[in-house]
Amino acid sequence: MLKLLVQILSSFCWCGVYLLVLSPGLGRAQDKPYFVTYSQDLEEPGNLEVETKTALAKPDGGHRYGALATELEYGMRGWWTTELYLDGQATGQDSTLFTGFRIENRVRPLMSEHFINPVLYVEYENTSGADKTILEVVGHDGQADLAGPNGELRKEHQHEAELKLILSSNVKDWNISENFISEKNLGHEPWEFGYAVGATRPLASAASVRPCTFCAEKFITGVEGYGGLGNTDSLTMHATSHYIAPVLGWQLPKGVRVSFSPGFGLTGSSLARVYRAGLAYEFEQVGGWFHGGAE
Amino acid sequence: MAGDAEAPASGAQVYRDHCLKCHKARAQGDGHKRPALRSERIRNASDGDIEWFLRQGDLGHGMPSWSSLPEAQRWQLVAYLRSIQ
Repeated sequence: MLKLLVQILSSFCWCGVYLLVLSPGLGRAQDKPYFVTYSQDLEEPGNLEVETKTALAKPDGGHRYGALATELEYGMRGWWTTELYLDGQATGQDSTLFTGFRIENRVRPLMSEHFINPVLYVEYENTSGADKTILEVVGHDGQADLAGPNGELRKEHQHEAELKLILSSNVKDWNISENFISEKNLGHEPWEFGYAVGATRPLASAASVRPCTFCAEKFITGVEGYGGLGNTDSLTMHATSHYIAPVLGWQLPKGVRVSFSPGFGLTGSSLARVYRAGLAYEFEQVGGWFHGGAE
Repeated sequence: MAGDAEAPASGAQVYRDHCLKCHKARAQGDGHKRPALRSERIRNASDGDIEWFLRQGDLGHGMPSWSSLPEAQRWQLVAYLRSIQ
């Protein structure tokens, strides 16, 4: 257990060190501290955000594990963001392994701001059954899927397409987001459905006069909930997993953002608890590095 | 924000965190896609117009929507932009 925690925490810390050392100057990361829910925020054109998302949990009948998703998010246009995820995990008394990758694109179809802002999300996922990052919950996903030995789980290959409709509003300093998820294993598996909803707000609205690290406006807090909604063969809430998770984000100097979230399972199929931590840094105007100036 | 003497200074922090990289330290822009913010157009716009534009953005031309910023910070930014004209 101790060895597992050390592995996960050391990879997390080294990511932070790399990000700080490699940072060319001021950076900025403004995303909400959600781990599963998406808001309308897209990456700014030309910017690259690197983020790690760690999930720590223990399924019933299985060993404790830590899963790490490393996310590279690039702003192609003001209305289009593309992302690559690289996933891995380490399970106590078992092994550490790379579990696959995901490529996703998010597009805002409406160019102007509305009360509810839709974003369309398309993802291709090539992961093994040993992936434990829980970046979404769909169908009848449950803790039993996470409890097996890595040697068995990794034999299952998941080539999946995922579509999300993201609806998001910024109202009176609150962000309220709802995601409707449908996922299809590209083999002969049924469509699976899920949801994620969240609300966040900064602790203070106005900015301070001087630069500061611990001012209230640097903290964003809120809550998210997510779960499965069955599949086309069994469109029922029976044996589905659901979670409620407070979230906290802290904007540090030099554009580093950290986030934390303890998640609590609400049904028998859910993990009892999932602890998540995130670390993000935004490299600004990456395209300009290769063109001798800002893009 | 009209009566808040500290609003331009607070707005300068918001500018530094969110706008500086594109519009540059003296708000001179990059002479290309990112326009200067010390301009006739800004001087002639009302505070409400500027705040509206910050909230809307111009996604088609690379300007993000800043609706995700708290409203108070958008108005502080407006005060800062006014102060540098």
